[in-house]
Amino acid sequence: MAAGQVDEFKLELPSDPRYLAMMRAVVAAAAEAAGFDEEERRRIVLGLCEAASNVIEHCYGRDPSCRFEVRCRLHPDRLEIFLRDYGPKPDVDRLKEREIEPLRPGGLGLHVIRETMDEVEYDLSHAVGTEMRMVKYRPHAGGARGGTE
Amino acid sequence: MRVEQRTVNGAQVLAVSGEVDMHNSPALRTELLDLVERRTKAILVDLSDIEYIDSSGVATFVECLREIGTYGGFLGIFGATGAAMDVFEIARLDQVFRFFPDEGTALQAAAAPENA
Repeated sequence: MAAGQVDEFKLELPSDPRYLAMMRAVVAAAAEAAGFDEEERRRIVLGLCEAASNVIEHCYGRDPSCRFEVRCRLHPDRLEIFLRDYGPKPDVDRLKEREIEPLRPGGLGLHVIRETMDEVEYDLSHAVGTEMRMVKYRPHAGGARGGTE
Repeated sequence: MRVEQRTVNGAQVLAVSGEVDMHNSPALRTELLDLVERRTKAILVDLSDIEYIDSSGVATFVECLREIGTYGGFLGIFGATGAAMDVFEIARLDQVFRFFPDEGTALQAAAAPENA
């Protein structure tokens, strides 16, 4: 990637769990191109896949006929991922950070997303659906976190 | 995802390989709960060839652990490194499950008097 350049691409996927593997492969390759090491790539892919699984499960109720979008922006110092759905908006209380109970099934997904990403935000302002923004900074990228381009 | 089962010294070894996500974790859950329903005394899960596993896969192990505990069975996991350990550590389950470096040590633990 040239200095200062921001590359962007978008995937539009059916809300069918069969496509999660393809999404992981594409985003892992993008993260590798952006200079993330193997451990960081694994965490990026894990966090995104948990978020997409939540969309399929909780937003679309496992209806495979719906669609969602994954948009990646590769900055020199970070990878920014937007996950856009067109389903019912989530319960805001459910999105709040809470202490996990490891032995209670379910509810781990949001915790994993927060642990694997450096920033997580939800944009509920769209007329339809929700856009989730996740950011992962590249270690040793230099420059201050939180800058805008 | 592939799941292969074999019996070693009375323990049921499940070798889970490939990628485990919400698409195929129900199949893994079916296999594990089938063993639990048959009150299998020791289940050893080999994760040495796992390429990816997320919270849906881990949730199946949590459910199995709770169920096997109801009759005093033993659930051990061996060979988990890298991708296989990430989600267990993040979910703080690395202190809940019993992890072993390889099949031999897992079999020894399963055969220990307190687990037999």
